[in-house]
Amino acid sequence: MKRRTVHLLLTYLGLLITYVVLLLPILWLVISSFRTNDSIQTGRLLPTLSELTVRNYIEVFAINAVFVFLLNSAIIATSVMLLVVLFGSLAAYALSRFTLRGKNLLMLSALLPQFFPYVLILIPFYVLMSNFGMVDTHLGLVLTHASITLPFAVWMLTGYFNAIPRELDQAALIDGCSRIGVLFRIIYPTALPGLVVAGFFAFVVSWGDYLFVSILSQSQSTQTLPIALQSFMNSLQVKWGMITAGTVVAIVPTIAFFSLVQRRLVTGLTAGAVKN
Amino acid sequence: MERNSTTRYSNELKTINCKRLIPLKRWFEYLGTAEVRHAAFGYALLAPAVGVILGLNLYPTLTGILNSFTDQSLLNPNAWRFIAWQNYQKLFVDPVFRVSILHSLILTLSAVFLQVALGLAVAHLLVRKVPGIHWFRSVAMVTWVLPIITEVVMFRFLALPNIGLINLLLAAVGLGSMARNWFGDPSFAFLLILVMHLWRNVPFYGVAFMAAMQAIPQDLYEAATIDGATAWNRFRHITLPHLRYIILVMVVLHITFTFNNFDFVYLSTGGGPVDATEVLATYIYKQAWSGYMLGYASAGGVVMLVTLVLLVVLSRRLIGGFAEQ
Amino acid sequence: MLIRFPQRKLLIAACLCLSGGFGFGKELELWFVPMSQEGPQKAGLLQWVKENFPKELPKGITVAPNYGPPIYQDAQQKFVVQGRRGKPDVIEGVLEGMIAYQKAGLIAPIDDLLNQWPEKDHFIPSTIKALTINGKVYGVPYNTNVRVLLYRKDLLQKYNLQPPKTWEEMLADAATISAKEQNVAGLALTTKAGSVRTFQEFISFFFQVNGGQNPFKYDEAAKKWSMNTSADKLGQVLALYHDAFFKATPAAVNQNTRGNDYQATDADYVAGKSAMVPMGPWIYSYRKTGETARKILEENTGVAPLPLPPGGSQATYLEVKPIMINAATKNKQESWNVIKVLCSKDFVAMDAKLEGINPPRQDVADLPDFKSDWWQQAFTQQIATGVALAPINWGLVVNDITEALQKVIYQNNPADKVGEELYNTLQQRAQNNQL
Repeated sequence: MKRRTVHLLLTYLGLLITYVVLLLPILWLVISSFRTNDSIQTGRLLPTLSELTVRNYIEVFAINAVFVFLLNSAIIATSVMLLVVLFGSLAAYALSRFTLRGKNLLMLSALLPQFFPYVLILIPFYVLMSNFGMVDTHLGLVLTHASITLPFAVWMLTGYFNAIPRELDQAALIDGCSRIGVLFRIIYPTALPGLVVAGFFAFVVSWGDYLFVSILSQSQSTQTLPIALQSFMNSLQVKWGMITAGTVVAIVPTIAFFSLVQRRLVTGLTAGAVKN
Repeated sequence: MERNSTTRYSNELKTINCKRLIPLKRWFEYLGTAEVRHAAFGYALLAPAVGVILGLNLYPTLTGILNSFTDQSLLNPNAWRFIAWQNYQKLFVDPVFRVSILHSLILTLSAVFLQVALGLAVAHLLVRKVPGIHWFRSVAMVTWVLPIITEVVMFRFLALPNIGLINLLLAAVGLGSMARNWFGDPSFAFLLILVMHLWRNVPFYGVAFMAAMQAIPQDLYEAATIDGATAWNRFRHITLPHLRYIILVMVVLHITFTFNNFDFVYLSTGGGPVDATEVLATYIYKQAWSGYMLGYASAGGVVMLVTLVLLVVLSRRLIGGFAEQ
Repeated sequence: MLIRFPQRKLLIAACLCLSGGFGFGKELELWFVPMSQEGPQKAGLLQWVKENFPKELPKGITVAPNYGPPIYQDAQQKFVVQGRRGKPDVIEGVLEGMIAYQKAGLIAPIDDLLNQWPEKDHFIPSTIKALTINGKVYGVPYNTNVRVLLYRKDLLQKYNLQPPKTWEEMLADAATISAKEQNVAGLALTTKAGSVRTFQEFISFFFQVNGGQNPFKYDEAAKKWSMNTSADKLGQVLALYHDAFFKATPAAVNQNTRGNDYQATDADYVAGKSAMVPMGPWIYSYRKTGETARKILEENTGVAPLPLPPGGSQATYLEVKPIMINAATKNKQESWNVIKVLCSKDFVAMDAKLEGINPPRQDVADLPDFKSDWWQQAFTQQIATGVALAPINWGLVVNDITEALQKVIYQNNPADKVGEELYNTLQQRAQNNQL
């Protein structure tokens, strides 16, 4: 009995330390976003009640462009997510269920780009997009983000689909289902956690991307939040109140989305981790 | 008479044509079979994804590799010459390049190793069925979903000289003399970059490992305890083998991510101070954009690619090898 | 197969609808960082443009309302890669950018256009000279500034110190204040790798040691750039930084501020954490951010030319921002019209007030608004001693200088040794035609 209590206490202690380390920076960020600039500059740990303000957020949202940035980030990330889930599941279905010649070669060549350093391909990539007139367009960014997240998505989803027994397929086919129907009616529901992981992964990478947006975006119509944040940090006057508020604005959507999917995320990771 | 000859001739012709047509005909028939239609359908399903991946990655990569053998400059892109291995020779003589490759390797290896170790520790905590564990599990991965720029802003804000949380906390516990500009200090800037990588990724490892551990049958542990195995033995002989695959997956993924990563260093220190945090990715970026030396930068990129592939192959061997014990 | 296509078409269609930028008609593209960078100046500039472009530009010419990337480095990189296609037509930038563009043949010389412009004579000659490469002018200046020494009148008075006239005095005064005044550093310097201000402060001091000349000069005979300084002189400037951080205890500059970027330097001064700082005119706009800043800037700040090294001459860094025409533009005459508006007396006066910089036009500096502005006058007096950068590719040189600087202030390496190494590195670069 005593041993179990000790174990319990140790567990909670470990969890406490871990989560303090993980959450403290975020907490500090949020608190600072509600403090006046003067309050932050005084260097006191905790603000007095009178130093609390919403002015930083008002300042952030007073920049009309912030809504454009949010919208751009949202549109691009959502499109990337949908595209990756769709194309990725089609490809994974093919790799998992079809005997194709050169399958291994294809799979390798599709996964290899995952290893390419982005800095190597950056300038030829920019020239390529420029030739197709896709610089400074949403489409260009969506395709770019899709191309860097598809390899992982395809690889992961293939593993998932492999784990789904073919008998289910056979049964549906015998019942008159088309091959594509099998994908959407049998595999999708069973592999839903995997799809969620793949889609969420694509969304997160797209939302947080800085490098590709910085070279492909040239005007506000395609600028996303990461670029905006960096330019805040580089602006003539650094106001930490406003920067922290802007950062919180950039974080909230991802955390909100995360809280929606996190249960499926863990299930998805479980299933993926268990195979083999 | 004529009709006879025509008929005979056309009969002959027919025979000749039929003979020639047979391979073609067979081929068309083959195309119509279910097997071919099946495969074609498969390729068609693959086409969109492969199209996007190769379309956008293949040409730039090939161009990049080819560029590494030229002296092309962004300022005069049309006036380039083929200079074979000269770029590579210059690279290996450049002290900053050598420092960057060293930093990249140290950062990647130590980050991944620490992430595995800490991830295992966190997984052991998360897998316990204590009250409230569900909350901990659900919140765990929050650091991974944040955009890297926001994490950099957070840490830069934490590490500021006078108003950063680190220094404030140090002062609060009486260690104020240790306060400094953490990102501006060559000894600590690299450490901070490592910490940022860990902060972001350890929960991901933790959750993935926890998920895998949940699939391990409990009776294995019970049997081992009855046989008198210590906790460490149980870990080494039951847990680890079951986790081998997921560890390999995470290691390969993160070696790639950490080695290629540009954002953390560029957005926080820019490679300084005094090249203390310069990594391959930022070095190559600067050669391309500050020096406009495209060929030279591409050579650096190729070296990066080759090094990464070597690292991945090595890690597969190593982790595969450990599991066999 | 039946389900897939409509979804994909819809997706692509949706994406296309949302993509911006199909310019139909004769619309010019202008890249102008202060109009796209978030900051206190943006709204005012956009307002002026909105009201005045339709009035001032000839009929049929419009300017697209997107002003390009909001960071100079970004704009520079993108222009280098894509400028040859003809867009943007007009680009604003920094001098280093102009030099790179000229090397790449991306911008057109505008001498003929400039000479026909009656307003040309209103520009301060040194600002036009700064934009001249090989005898040709490549841009029109709309914005300039020099670096001076700002000091806290109240603090100097408190300790009976005069505004320093030499480097030695500056360091001694700063050390006194650091020792005696709580939480205030006598002097503040920017030393972060990658911050352009680090280089600009260094080069201001260097110009003083080097007789107001650039570290490189063009050798006509050898058709190459060659060294125009000595290892000693480089060592002298590095020694200044070394002494600033190490000579006295407590040091003239707070050692914890090593690695500060320009925002930290600016913010520290207006928060009262430093007593002296090499600075430009833009910091005046901080007076609107709070009472402390306002008091310091409006009541307690004095302006003096940068103090001199032994045997040195009065010189400082002159920053000029040009507006340039893309050599590949299809609308050269119309682009020139846009430039004329952006360098007009009206715009320059408004921009100088908004951004807190000095006007490169004498007629603007003579406006009553400017003549009565003590801050503007203090800076304008120093423009004559300002030296602009030579037309070389400064990217690699800036890296080299920053590295040398950091070796001195972090690793306490002796300045003369590091100065020698720096000299050799720069010489190599010149000889290898990397400039």
